[in-house]
Amino acid sequence: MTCKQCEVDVHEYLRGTLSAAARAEVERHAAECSACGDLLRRCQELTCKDFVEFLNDYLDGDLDGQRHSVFDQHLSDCPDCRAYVASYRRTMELSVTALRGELAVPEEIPERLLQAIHDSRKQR
Amino acid sequence: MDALADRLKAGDAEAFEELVRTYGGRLRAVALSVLHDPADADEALQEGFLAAFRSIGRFEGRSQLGTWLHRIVLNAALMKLRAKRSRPDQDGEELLPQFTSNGVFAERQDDWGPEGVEDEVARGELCARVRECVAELPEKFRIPLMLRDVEGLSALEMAERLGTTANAAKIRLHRARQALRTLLERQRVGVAA
Repeated sequence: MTCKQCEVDVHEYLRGTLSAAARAEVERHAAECSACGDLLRRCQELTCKDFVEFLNDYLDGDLDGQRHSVFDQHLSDCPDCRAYVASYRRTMELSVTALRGELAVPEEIPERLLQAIHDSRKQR
Repeated sequence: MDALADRLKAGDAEAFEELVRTYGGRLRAVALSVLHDPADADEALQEGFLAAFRSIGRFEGRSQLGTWLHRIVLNAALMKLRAKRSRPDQDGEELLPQFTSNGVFAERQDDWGPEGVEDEVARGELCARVRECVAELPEKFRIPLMLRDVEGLSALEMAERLGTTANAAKIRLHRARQALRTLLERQRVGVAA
């Protein structure tokens, strides 16, 4: 197994989608290769679940320096979290754009609607 | 605090008319952008103004009066949109990401691809679909999202409005964004083909 293949398979290994033979291959490679062994250990120490749980703090810069570095490393290690962060950021942008919006030139409110609002207020 | 807001709180009848005249046209456009039906938009606007009149005592001037009204009318329009589709308020927990017992994403995450919708019409359609997804969010997610994205409130200001702590408000906002992300992904909104 190459390191490149192992980098891909580590995430499927942790997800539990690999066959028994492929799992054994990842374990064997990780035991022999210090870089891939470190990658597997890091992914087990800070999981995607942990990463996503504190993602807002990470993006807001609210994590302390050491923890922020650990999150940076996870982002570098994990393609799932990279994709998730990109889509989360896009969601934030789309939400502001769609909700705050760029409004059309203000129109005057029709008199009948103005009257209806006043009437309904008086009834309550 | 806005002088108009002070007059509204004091029950000044002319202030109510001024409020509706000042903001009504713009907010009608907001409601119409969600509902695409003038009659529905007018109803949502009316409901929004009534809700604002009822809660003016709680307006603390943390955002502009117009921004505060925008959020209320937008919420009224989104609730009407959802009511039209007969979708009951769900728990929303199913919209949060799922993980294996190892803490890894249960499913591989898709790359949403490059951003950028340059065309004005496509941009308008995209925004309409995003608002539809926001309308589908349960209230516990929709309200914090709008407090931040419409009114621009800080975590502490959101906490005061929601009656909770700043940390809890941040968590609710984070979950709201996660839930909205799931809905956008399900509908492939903003996701490159």
